[in-house]
Amino acid sequence: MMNSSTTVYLIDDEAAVRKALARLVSAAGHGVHTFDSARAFLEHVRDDVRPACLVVDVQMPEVSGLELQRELKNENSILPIIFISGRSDIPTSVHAMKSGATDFLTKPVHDDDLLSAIERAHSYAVEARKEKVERDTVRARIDGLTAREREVMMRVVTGRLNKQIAGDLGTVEKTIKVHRARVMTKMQVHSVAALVRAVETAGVELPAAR
Amino acid sequence: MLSILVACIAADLSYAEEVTASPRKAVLVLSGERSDLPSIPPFEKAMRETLTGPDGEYDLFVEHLDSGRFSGPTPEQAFARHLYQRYLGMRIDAVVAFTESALDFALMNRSKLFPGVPIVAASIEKNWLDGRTMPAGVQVISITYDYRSTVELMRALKPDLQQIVVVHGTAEFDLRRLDDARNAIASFSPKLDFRAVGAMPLKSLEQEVRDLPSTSAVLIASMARDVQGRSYVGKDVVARLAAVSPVPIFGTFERHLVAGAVGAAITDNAALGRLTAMEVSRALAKQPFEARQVELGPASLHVNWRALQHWNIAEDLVPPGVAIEFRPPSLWTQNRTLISVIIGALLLQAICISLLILELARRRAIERNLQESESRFRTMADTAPIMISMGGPDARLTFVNKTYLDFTGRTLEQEVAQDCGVGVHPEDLNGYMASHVAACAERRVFTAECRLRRHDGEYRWVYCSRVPRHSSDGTFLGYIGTCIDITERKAAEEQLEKEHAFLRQVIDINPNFIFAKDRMGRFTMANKAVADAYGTTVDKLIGKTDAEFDDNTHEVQHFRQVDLEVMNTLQERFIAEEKITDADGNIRWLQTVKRPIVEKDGSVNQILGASTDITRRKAAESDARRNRADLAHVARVSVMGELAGSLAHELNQPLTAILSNTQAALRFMNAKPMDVVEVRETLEDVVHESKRASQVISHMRALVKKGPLEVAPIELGIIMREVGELMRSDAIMRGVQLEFDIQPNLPMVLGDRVQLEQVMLNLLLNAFDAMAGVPHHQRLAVVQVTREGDAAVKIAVHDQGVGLSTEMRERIFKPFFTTKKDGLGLGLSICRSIIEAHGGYLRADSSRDDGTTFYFTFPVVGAVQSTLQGEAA
Repeated sequence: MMNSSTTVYLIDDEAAVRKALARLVSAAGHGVHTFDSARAFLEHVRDDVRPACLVVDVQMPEVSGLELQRELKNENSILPIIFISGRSDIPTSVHAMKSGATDFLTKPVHDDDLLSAIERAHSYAVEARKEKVERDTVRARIDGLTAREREVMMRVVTGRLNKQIAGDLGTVEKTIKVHRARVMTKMQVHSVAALVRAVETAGVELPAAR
Repeated sequence: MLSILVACIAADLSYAEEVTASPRKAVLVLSGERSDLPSIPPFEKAMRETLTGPDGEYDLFVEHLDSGRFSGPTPEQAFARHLYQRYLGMRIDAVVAFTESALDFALMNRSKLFPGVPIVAASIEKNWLDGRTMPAGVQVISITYDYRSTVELMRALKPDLQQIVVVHGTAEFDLRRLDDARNAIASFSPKLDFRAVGAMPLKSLEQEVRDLPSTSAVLIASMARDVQGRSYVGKDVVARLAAVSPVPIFGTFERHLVAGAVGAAITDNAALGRLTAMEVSRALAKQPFEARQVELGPASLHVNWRALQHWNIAEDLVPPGVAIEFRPPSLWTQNRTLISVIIGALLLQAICISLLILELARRRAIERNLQESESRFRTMADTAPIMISMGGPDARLTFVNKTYLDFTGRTLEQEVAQDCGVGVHPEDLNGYMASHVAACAERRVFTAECRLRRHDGEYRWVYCSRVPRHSSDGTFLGYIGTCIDITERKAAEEQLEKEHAFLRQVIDINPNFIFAKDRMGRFTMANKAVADAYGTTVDKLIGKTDAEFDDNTHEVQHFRQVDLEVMNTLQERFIAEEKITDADGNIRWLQTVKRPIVEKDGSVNQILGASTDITRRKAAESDARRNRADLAHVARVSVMGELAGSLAHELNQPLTAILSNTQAALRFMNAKPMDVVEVRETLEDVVHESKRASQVISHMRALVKKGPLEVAPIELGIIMREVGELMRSDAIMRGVQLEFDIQPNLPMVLGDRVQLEQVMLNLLLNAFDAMAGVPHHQRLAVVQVTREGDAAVKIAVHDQGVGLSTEMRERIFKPFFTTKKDGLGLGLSICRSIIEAHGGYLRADSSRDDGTTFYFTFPVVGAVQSTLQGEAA
């Protein structure tokens, strides 16, 4: 019995398979939305609030499963993807996994395999969600920094001393200290280490240490 | 007989007594003038002849007045009394009065002598009648004296005539004639003068006449009485005057003509007599007797030939229609008998002589012919290019011709002395002598071919012939012989034989059948190949038929049929395939040509045939067909191999659905409460998917199956859909968009669906491969099926690949050509042969921008090629 049901987006161009899989998934207690093509799915308005996952057939006309994966990645989607394939083609599966798929199953699909994959996806989704929220928060905080503050922050996280930063930016140490304090406050961190972690979380690229 | 005679006499006697009861008519002819008038006899004769016609019997009594000879009234009275007494008691039925004086007398004495009796008066002058009326019952036949005609005759015979001197007598008759003449001459004035001379003694007349000018002529009118009172001297006068007159004398009467006058218009007294008799008959036939005007026809002109001669009048002056009298009878008429005899004798002589001459000529001709014949024979014999000889009964030569002598080089004397058989080649001598002796003994014809030595020593082949000859009575006379040099002919014969033998070898070495057959199906010629096939020899085959060697009646019948057809239609026939069962019982396939042999006269009695054994070829063909089928199968299998991956995927779909459905169903069953409907639906889907899976398997099996072509009507739409399903997964995998553009309402095509699907799969796989380098969104493969005219459907597979160069477009269809790393290279060549077997042709079109299109046409049901059937068989 499942702890949490999740929303499953099911995409397969083959009707019979779609129907059967949908049955299975809903029998397991999940909410299923079926689409006959990747395009149909993309056009569907999704609410990103509830955790969800995507079960998609790799071989589809027009937009294949992998293409969809890429597309979603471009959108920065955190939707976990479970691939189903009619052929056990190693390069394809490797590529899919490397691109961040949760799982790659071959037809005919066993219910256990599918459902456990969905579970994992759910967990991942939840996790990913959390991470996203965190990241978005930090990002927002960074956005709240002034340009100068940002410049200072960047140097701080690379281990530069106040004196050095002052020299980089052509100002006095004192000013730097003030900026630094402000950054710490805005970023809601108490230590440099924490700051560094926050910056990393935000996904901002750290400049190379000099 | 006696009783009839008695009756006649009795009748006669009774006639004399019983006048009134007599049946015979009595006609009294009174003749005036003189009884010796020359006109009387013909008149009387004619009358009698005419009267004694079938009308009845007449008694003619002729009495002559002779008033000319006796003068004075008394003679007439005496005559009347005489008549009365004579004819007293006799009934007179008719009276004929001849001349005017008789008529006068008759009229005068009518009442006394023959009252109420009809009178027919003849020879009455027309002028005399003028002023006289005849009483009833008197018929007059008048005459005229036509001096006008006489004058015209005189003018014709004497063109220079100016004066006519009329000599006349003193009697009344004479004077009347004088008047007539004068009137006639007057009508010719002023051309003619008239002068009358008469009333003088004869001597004076003569004198007068003698002195007449040359331009005059004399016309004797009439001299019944001369000046001296002598009567009827006219005849004598004419004779005397004719003797002395320098000019021609013409007359009035026939007697004048007789006496020497040149011409006269003579009354035809015989005609007069006939006419009179007819009038008498008429008179006797019908009472009362009605008189009518009857005139004797015109007098005819007569000319005296002697008189013409006497006065030198040219005979050709005589006008036509004038009769020439007194021509002296010819010598012939005078001496008929003598002349006939003489002529007869002469004729006989002439005949004999000519016969003899003919005979002589014939003999000469025969001799000449003989001579000519001899020389002709000689010439012929000598110029003939053959040797001719003649021998006597003793077989010794009596004659040889020039050619003979030229050949042997001897002279005639030498030849004659020769024995028989000299010069014959030693090898041929015995045979020659034997048959010669035999023939001689039996005296029959003898022929031989042998070698004879020529004068130059060379032996020549000759053909000798000896014929016996007999005389007409059967005696044997000897021989006539001929020898012909046949060396060339023999050489030619040998050459021909050699060639023949060589040709025979040629036809016998030929492995094909060569033969000729006649109308009865007998072989007239056959080569060794035919004989071998029939398990016999050529000699044994000639004259026999196919039936005697081939047990299969159908085959034999077929041969006969074609043979007869060729002979009757005079057309060559090519038989692509026919069967023959050979001597070993094997079936052989032949390809045959048969041709009629046309004789010089246009008739056809034989066929000439040649057959090639195509058994091996046929076997090779069926092998090839089998190989093709195998190859097609192999290709199919390999295609299937290529599709295996996608087919596995194809099967996976239903399997996935089945698995998931059943697992879902199990879960549904665990739910409380169980949703039965849901479970059922699920299980139904499971069933459906299972079926789908098995369908895929059986379709694949069908595709992989090796079998012969199954030709059937195909619906292209269905085929394309199946192909599409098969290819779908592959298309997706390769990122190719596969579209079908199928025209609606396509007609059915005829073909093998499996093979067609194979072609489609192959083409589509190629299309997908071609687009491997094309960006994803541009990968488009289109299958287009459209109508092409009424009889075909066009199928095209189009891809968006790089295209093919012109050279490549054909090369790709070559077997073992491939651009794939591990491809067999057979796919397209097999596809092409499959399409060809279906009656279409697979080709490719390509361009850089548009990609490549493979297309072919398929025949619609009903418009199928024979190759398809052949392949199916």
